[in-house]
This record gives sequence, structure tokens and C-alpha cells, in this order.
Amino acid sequence: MLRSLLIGALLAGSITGVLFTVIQQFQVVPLILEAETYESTGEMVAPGHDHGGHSHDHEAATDNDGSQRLLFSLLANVLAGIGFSLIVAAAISFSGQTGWRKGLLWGAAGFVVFFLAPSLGLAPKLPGTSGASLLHQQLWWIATAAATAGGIAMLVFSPSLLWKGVGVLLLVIPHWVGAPMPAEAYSVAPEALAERFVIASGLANASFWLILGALSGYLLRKSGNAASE
Amino acid sequence: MNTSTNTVAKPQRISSRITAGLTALTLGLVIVFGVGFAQGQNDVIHDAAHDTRHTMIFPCH
Repeated sequence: MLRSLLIGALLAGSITGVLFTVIQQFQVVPLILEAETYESTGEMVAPGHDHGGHSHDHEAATDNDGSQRLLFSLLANVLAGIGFSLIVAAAISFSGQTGWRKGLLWGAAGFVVFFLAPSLGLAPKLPGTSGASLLHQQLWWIATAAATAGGIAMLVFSPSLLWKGVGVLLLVIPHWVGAPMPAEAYSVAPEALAERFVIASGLANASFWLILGALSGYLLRKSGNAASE
Repeated sequence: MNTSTNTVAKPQRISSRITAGLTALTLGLVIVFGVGFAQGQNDVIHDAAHDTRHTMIFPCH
């Protein structure tokens, strides 16, 4: 059981990570690179701004043709694919709902939990955009994803109206509390670039989750059948 | 809903499903935490996963 789950998730996550890297390189990375050019000039204009205590210089300095950066992104994307696929595999295992159609629904849920809900408070951010303390942002992100996952699960799977109500509350509370905001909001990149980044990252993540969900559902059905034979 | 009928019919299969699910969930959460949140010594994990974090909107800075 566990073996087939792990193998299915490993395969689905790796394939999704590779495909996501292609989408990311064409759709998203050019915008990040453009923002970083503003970031390096912007820092000279406004040296007082704190960029989280690190710079991006090392990336440019050690990696002239960008191949190292691409390789690290591929690695991170494949790992993210495997990690998220394992979480989807757990959900599939608990619910017993496999197949690519159900998988698409799991993928849609993953998109809402791990992208849409956090992005309502912490919008997709280009390098050089101010934010509250990193730890506070991370805690809000994790709490929001957890509450949204719980909320959706209660809404979909609980037969009781009371629990469905609790589910709605869980969906709403993180946004009622609100994401941590910086004392002074600024962005060195122009607003048009930031807007393009929101759309590009949204589309990239939607693709990621639909591919991941469908593949996980399909492969786990296949491996589940093989294991029971 | 299916679960309750299965529990009666195949209790062992259900418990192995739950165990497998919990193992996958734990492993998945650890990996996602590494990709999305860990900084590493001298920010090494942050730098490697930088573009992935921005794209997947993990808080990065």
C-alpha cells in the first residue's frame, strides 16, 4: 500500500515538476529577472530600504549563463512536485477516490489551498517588493493553507450542516484576521510588471495543480490496482 | 461514506490505508517545508529555491 503510494507520488510529482519548470521559464522567470534589474538600480536610489538582509548579487555573480539557476529551479520544482503529490496521495488514500477525474478535483483543491487562499492576503510578489517580517508572513501562509484545507474538507465531506458552517468559518477567518502587512508598502518594479506577474504565476500554479492532481489520481489508481493483484 | 462499509468488510486494509496516508502526508509536508520555508546555512536553500518560491508564492523576503 505504502510502496505503491510513494511510487505513484514520486512519478506524478517528478513529471509535474519538469513540466512546471518549462512553464515557469517561459512565463514567470523573465518577469522575475526584469524585476531584479529594477531591484539593483532601485537599491542605489533608495539605500534605506531593507530587502530582508540579503541580495541577489550572488546569483548573477556565480552564474553568468543562468544554467545553474535553472538547474536549482528544476530541482526545487521537482521536489515541490513530489512533496505536494505526497500530500495529494495522502488525501486520495484517506478518501479512496482515485482516477484522473477525481484527481483533477484534488488538484483544484490544492490550487485553492496552496495558492489562491494565501494569495488573497499575500499577493504574488516580485523581488524588490516590501513585506512584513518573513516569519509572520510564513506563519500566516501556513495557517491560511491549513484552515482552507480543513474548511474545504468539512464543506465537501461532512454530512452535518453544523460542520459545513464551521468549514465556511475556517475559509473566512484567515482573511478576516488579515495577512501581515509591511509598515511601508513599496515596490521597485513598475505596477504593470507586478500585474503581469500575478497573472503569470496564477496560470503557472493552476497548470501545476491540474497536472499534478490528474497525474496523481491516474497513477495511484494504476499502482493501487497493481498492488491488489 | 464508503469508508464505513469498508471498515466492516476489510478492517486491515483500511488501517494500512490510513498508515500509508499518514506516512505520505508527513513526508510531503517535510519536503514542502524544505522547498518553501527553510533558509539553510548562509541562505543556501533559499537561494536555490528562490524562483520556485516567488512563482509558488511562498513568502520569500
